[in-house]
Amino acid sequence: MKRSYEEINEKLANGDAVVMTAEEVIGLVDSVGVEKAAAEVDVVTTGTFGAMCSSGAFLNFGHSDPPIKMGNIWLNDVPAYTGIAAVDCYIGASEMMEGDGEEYGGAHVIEDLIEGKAVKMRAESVGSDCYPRKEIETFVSLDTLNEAYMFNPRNAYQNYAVGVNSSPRTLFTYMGKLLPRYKNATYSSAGQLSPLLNDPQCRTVGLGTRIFLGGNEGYVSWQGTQFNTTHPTRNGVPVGNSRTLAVIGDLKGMSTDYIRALSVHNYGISIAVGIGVPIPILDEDMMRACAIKDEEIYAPVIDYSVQSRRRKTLAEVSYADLRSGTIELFDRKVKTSSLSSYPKAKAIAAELKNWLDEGRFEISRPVAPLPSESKPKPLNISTREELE
Amino acid sequence: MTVRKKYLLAFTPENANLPVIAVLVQKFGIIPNIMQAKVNERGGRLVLDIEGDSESLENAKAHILEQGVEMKELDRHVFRDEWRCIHCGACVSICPAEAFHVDMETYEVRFNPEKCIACEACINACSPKAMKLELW
Repeated sequence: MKRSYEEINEKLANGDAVVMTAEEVIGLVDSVGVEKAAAEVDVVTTGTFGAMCSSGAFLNFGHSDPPIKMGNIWLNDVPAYTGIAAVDCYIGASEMMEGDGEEYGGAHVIEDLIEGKAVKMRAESVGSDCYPRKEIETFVSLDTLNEAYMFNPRNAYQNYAVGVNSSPRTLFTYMGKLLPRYKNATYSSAGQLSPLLNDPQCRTVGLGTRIFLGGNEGYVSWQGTQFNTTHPTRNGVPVGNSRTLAVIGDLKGMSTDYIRALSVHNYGISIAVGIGVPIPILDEDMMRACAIKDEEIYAPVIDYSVQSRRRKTLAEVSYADLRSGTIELFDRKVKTSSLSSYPKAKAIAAELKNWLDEGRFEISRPVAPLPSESKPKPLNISTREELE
Repeated sequence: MTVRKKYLLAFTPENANLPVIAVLVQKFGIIPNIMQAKVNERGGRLVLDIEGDSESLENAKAHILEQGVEMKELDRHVFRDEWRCIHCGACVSICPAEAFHVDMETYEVRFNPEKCIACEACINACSPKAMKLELW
């Protein structure tokens, strides 16, 4: 069985396409097999909603009179980056508010903008002949901005680690609150619903792939940073944090149902981003990949009390076990917590399915593939002579 | 009529030495279950799960308040902002009272305030800031 992108889009336009979520096709493949399921289903939708620190938004404010070339800028007292043109800035999700850092940051500014709230903008400059103004303070909202688009360098991790803590004290990490002496374990993947676990080699996900981003349409714009193809696989999917996506999409039209600011205690600010990727069933291999279930996806258990990049994997556990509420570690039962939201992941896959069913969303053939081989390098302390 | 309620008692350094539990048991015939007890330089706090006759309970409350100890029913000490909750589950494994559980049908996180012992462990574990303290 072979199916083209064009055939699928024609069926979508005619309302004849069969679209199912990555959860729904598990049961279908179990009951009728891969061949029949592949013949029946045209597109499988996926979803994930979890903390994705490497996120932010480009904003253009328009020119004031007299104009200013913004040198430093604060949005609700959160610094943004203006080392680009006069009235463009990038607000990073993880940037913390000056003063009271942990409660409010760039992610909250983004959430407030999407929510339609007014945001206080303050900027300063040295002044120049083209841009004489040295200070400005005003309120802006999503409506007053020219362009406001999310551009996230690293989202939608293909699998991730499970966090535990062997030390005698509670740790507050980006993997959440880790109780002493392996008293709990945290994980953060939608598992069987997660976009890149349903297309593990990124056959159909590449540059230009149209996706669900924060409740709006978005696009894959590049491979995500730290894109890693080198982890060993089990059942065809990597064990550990592997491929990632850089994504882009209009903030105007996003919803706070699918973008949510997070304050991670004693760590900092992050943002929960909702992403859904449609997977076209081009052949039986794609259907086989989309039928992967939590029982078959494994994650490495990592001790976050080891403050070095050389952490060993203590064990490998399946998402079925993680989601059951307890895992076995060193012959003991350890309670688990998910940090990403499975109900939201389900809602995203269902919403994307609606868009496809209603003919509001076309699938797209990638303009270029993501790297087939890539391994992130560590940062070593080097001299100029060693590098040149 | 027998009732069962949870109370938070707040002591000042001056009245932190009062034998409140003994008085509840001996004088009012109330059965307290101590869920939390902390004493420091600012005074102390006690979380009690109390079972007893409703009239005795009212009398006991009046007696305790007379001694300058604050006493508040713990019906909403920790509460969940339903809109901010994203149903991740970060709270589930860190709650010593098992007041949270995941509904295995929908995978939504259910919070049972009746099981809550007001230890506040969930407050800093909740990154969407859905779990909040009722201030008093």
